[in-house]
Amino acid sequence: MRRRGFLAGVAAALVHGPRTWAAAGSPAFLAAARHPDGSFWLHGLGEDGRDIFSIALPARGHAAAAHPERPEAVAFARRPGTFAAILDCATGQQTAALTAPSGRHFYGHGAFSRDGEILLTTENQIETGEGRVGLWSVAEGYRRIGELPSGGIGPHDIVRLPDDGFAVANGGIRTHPNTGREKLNLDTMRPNLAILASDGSLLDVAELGEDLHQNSIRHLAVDDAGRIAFAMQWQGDLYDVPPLLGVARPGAKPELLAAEEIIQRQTQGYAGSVSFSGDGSTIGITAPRGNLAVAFDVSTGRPSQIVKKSDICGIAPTKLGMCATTGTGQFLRLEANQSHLIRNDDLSWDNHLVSVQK
Amino acid sequence: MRHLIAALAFAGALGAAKADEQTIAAVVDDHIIPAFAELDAAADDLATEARKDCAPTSEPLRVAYQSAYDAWLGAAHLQIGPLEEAEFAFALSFWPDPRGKTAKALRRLIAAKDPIAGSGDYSKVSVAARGFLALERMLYDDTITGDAGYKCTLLRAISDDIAATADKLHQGWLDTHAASFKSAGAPGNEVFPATEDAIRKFYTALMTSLGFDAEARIGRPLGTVQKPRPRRAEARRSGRPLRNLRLSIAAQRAFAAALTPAGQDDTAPQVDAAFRRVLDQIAEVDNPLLDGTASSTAWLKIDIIKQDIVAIQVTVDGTLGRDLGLFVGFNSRDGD
Repeated sequence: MRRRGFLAGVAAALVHGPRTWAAAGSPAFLAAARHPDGSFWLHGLGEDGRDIFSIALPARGHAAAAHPERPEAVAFARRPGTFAAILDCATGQQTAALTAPSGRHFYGHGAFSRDGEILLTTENQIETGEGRVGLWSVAEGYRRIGELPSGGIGPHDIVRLPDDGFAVANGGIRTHPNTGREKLNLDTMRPNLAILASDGSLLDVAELGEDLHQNSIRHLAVDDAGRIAFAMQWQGDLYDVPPLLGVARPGAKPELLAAEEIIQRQTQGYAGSVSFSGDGSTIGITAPRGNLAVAFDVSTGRPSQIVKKSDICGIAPTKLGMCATTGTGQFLRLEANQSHLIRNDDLSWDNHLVSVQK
Repeated sequence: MRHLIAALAFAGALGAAKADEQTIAAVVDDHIIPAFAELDAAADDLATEARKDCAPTSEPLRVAYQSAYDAWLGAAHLQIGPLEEAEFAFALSFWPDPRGKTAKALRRLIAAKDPIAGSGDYSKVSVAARGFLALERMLYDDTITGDAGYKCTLLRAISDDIAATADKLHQGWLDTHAASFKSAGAPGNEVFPATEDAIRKFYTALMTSLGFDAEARIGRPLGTVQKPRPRRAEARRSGRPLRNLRLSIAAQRAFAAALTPAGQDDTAPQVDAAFRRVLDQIAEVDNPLLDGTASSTAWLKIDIIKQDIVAIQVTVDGTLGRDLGLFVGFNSRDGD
């Protein structure tokens, strides 16, 4: 197998010092939050929801990416941001910053290569609207070293796959910083799920049917078997009630999962995050506009649990099931088809709950 | 000194919880329970009229339908408690329905003379064939044709089902949910661990409902000035699009008033003025079907109402939301 050098990890032994996530208290998750005084913080949380650390952020972020070994987090600005901070979660210090190259902006998510050498970031090539994946060398202080086509327009989430490749959610929506988040191509949008090989080459692009061309593929989760769950945000008539969750394996046609109509309607056509359960038996999506989360049984494709919580959005796996966060300060565990309120704080948990890989 | 400050802060928190308790009790007892009691009674009248005369042209039946639908608009904004629990909201109002599922479901039942209609177990059918929009089709849509005897049975089944649903909603509030809200913050209340959780629930319901009025009730028929979409209006066959909007806004005005804590001198008049502006616009617009196709002026008048509903949301957010210390929609409004 031919591989380009950038993911081969030849220099791995040199840059990996002894510092690991243990130095930051071994958090299970990263989550950003707005505190009552209006400040924004990145929290490291245990699987039981307890605070392990918190680091002040300069502004509201979108997602974070956790380095696979080093206690380092990348906190991305909200799109169309051009800034991301590298935070040392052991010391609470910012150790580096990413600035998008001229003519590019970030779309809010990133992922690391398995060896931790390369950070990949989803980006917009502003002039053409083409999606890009930016490449940054961790060992060189997060220096920009190149970029790849994302395989579509408006790449949002990116996750690493068990075979060391990556999945990219190309949301299909073209935006331009001059018009903020205005959607410029709703009539012609064509979202896709793109699969990149470990060398960065584009392996596969899966599109949905014509009737779902306005279903923006935005967020991703992957399980140990390499199944990719993708959550969508519908841009068409809200009351057409489309599915908002799909499951794909590289090379196979994605399968779409939907609950019965009365549940689908409540989601308001908008899924905010997606996660597998720790045992891989269920997939949860959150619907903050509908104030609910729906867990689907992977074997039957049918919903197995509905959780109604205001502004629920972050979701991530635990050993037994999943946990979720809300914009109203709640941290919940969803296990064995029960939901348990673990924490209820005077703060707003932000969009995503990011797993720190073990 | 430190003890004194701590004690004062504690007393302040207790005072806030006490004020919340009063607000919750006022909302439940003076707004929610009466709204569902009225719906329950009006839906019973509807079922009674349908039993007396099931002819779609029966004037008493149509009047009872309109009254019960009116009563639903007095409660439809309260998508909390029992309305949030099962499929009750859809079972009473399956709308918007861009794919015409209600008509399809009714035609299927009629063509098959499905015995479910006479079984007393009509709640088992698809929500699309239940509620006010299904009944509207039976009363006002002459393209729903078929065996007259079966149609009569079906119309009565839909009416009885509306009455049964309304009864469950009313009883649900009386039996369980009133106590659940009113004991917010008390030990053992897992639904509302703090009084603020119940207040937030009310507030979110108000904002959601205002959003539905702006985006669906008026936004769908409004369309664009180039392409108004009057056929997408709610309950247009029974002439109710503007009426539904008016009743919904009026009900939310009362809800917002009940939710406003005592002692907030500026908030109540500001919020009320925002609601009144919309109701004044509605009173002036002579367009019961929200049909913007006649002229760009007609369209613009509808658009102004929509803008003013959005302005209510902004006002409520900046006054009531501020007073209540609520920051709603951190994620849902971020949209990413």
